[in-house]
Amino acid sequence: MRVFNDDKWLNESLNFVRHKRDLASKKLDNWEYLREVASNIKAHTITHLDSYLEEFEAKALANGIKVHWAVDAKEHNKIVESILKKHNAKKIVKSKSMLTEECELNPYLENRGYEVIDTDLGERIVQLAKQRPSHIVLPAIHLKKEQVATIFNEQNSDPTYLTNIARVRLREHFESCDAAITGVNFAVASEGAFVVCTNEGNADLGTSLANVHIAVMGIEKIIPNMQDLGVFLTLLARSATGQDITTYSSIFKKPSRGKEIHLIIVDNGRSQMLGDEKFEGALKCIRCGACMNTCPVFRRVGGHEYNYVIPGPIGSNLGSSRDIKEYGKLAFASTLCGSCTAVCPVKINLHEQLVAYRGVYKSQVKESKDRYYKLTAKILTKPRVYRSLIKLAKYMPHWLYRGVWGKGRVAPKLAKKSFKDYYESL
Amino acid sequence: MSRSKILKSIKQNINSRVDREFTTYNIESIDNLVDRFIDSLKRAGGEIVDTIDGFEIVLNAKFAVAQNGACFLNNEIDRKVYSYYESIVILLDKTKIVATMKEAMGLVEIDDFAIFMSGPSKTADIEQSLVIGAHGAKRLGVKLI
Repeated sequence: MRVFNDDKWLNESLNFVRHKRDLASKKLDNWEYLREVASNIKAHTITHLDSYLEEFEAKALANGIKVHWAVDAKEHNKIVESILKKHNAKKIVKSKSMLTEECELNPYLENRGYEVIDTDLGERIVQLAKQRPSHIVLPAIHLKKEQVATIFNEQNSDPTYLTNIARVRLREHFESCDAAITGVNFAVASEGAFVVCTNEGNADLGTSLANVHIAVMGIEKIIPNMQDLGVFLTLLARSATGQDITTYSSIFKKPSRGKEIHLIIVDNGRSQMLGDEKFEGALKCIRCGACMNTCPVFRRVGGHEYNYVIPGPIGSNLGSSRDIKEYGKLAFASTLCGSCTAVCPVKINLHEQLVAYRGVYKSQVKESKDRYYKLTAKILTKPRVYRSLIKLAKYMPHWLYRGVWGKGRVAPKLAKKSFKDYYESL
Repeated sequence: MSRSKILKSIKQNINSRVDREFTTYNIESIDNLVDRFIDSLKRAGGEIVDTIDGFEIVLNAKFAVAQNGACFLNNEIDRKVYSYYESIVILLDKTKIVATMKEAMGLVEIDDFAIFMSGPSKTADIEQSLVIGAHGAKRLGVKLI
């Protein structure tokens, strides 16, 4: 059962990352100007996606990269499987890709007899724990080192020791893999090349050892040229972890001799987000996770409380655009403080979108809660009724919490005096 | 065909096209490039070394970036050199250090693969504790020449 007060450490560790982001951004003379530039590059690119994708594809094909297109998650998974089949690949090492989470690639492949090894340390931990990532940059931030030790079947919970255990065990998988799957951080149209950023070196190790490299990207990963890449590499790691740049920023242009690179360009609902000026800005996202680290709601509840694959402010927007009935409620899980918007390196107006999605949700989805809202409104507009009910609240038996709202929650202790009584007694 | 379906959907849905407002940008002016590079490299967990002795593999940087400590490498045929070994030393010509990624992008040449490498491999996936040496190099030295 969840006790919110116990999650102080999650709040603190995320706030620590947020703080590192602040320090890194302040080291630059004109961070705010760079955000402006990045926002404009992305706004321009997503509204010219057709021509940039065509330019990128032509150049990538000329470079010897095999390009595939997938309308949805199902087609994406099928293409991956067909490539693996062609190469008779059974064991796949995978570096981080939120798109494969979105497409649920791992269960798809595992159900068909493939062995899929997540190699990012955080992702490996949650894979072994049979969980999903709780954060897009820090997948295992919800787990304590003692829990990680248990997951690894180890007694010693020292992070250095555990990281080395993972290094040794995963090295065996790298050495015996048949194929490597990576995500894509940026696809540069003018070069027909794509960029993968990691700190661990897992994408580089996997792709250099495997004979076939399958890279998967959403259509919005395109950027026009190399100068633009300079802007995003300056912003990405500083926003994500407060580093100046990720340890490895690898630019893949052509396959090594005798090897193959397959690139799958995936839509899966993204093109449907275009055209509505209120919401299309979410396609500018570079998946740095800064909005999560700063969000007062995310910092307290963690990523698993969000039912969409990407949590936090950006995830609530992307989920709402995907399926308002299923995910629209996430738009209400926000204080609308606007901190997410203030840190977003590409200036997505995240909290304004959340407000707008609330409107969409209320106009499209009927809720059983609506009658409670009406009742609440009646009480709140009559001070005398409200005050007398508040006085009664302390007599409310705890079993009342066990209804729908109380599932997975602990009832808070009510103060003996109402605030009004307390204030008057001062 | 999925390709034409996706492109058609994009064309149909795009409402108003946004123009580019910025054709150039500046990031930061840096006075002492070498000092700043060394500072950034150390922040990234790397070290400046006098000798290449004791390192498993020696690589040559085309240039490096003062603002983030990254070395640009693009001349290895076997790509596993960047991530397979426990220790890497990079030879870097002091006069080839540029200030920011803006200048860097003007120098980038990619034949088939290129990499910006900043310090040794690292992770903070367990309780935000920084651990040097995740999957790639545990030690990364740069010898300035």
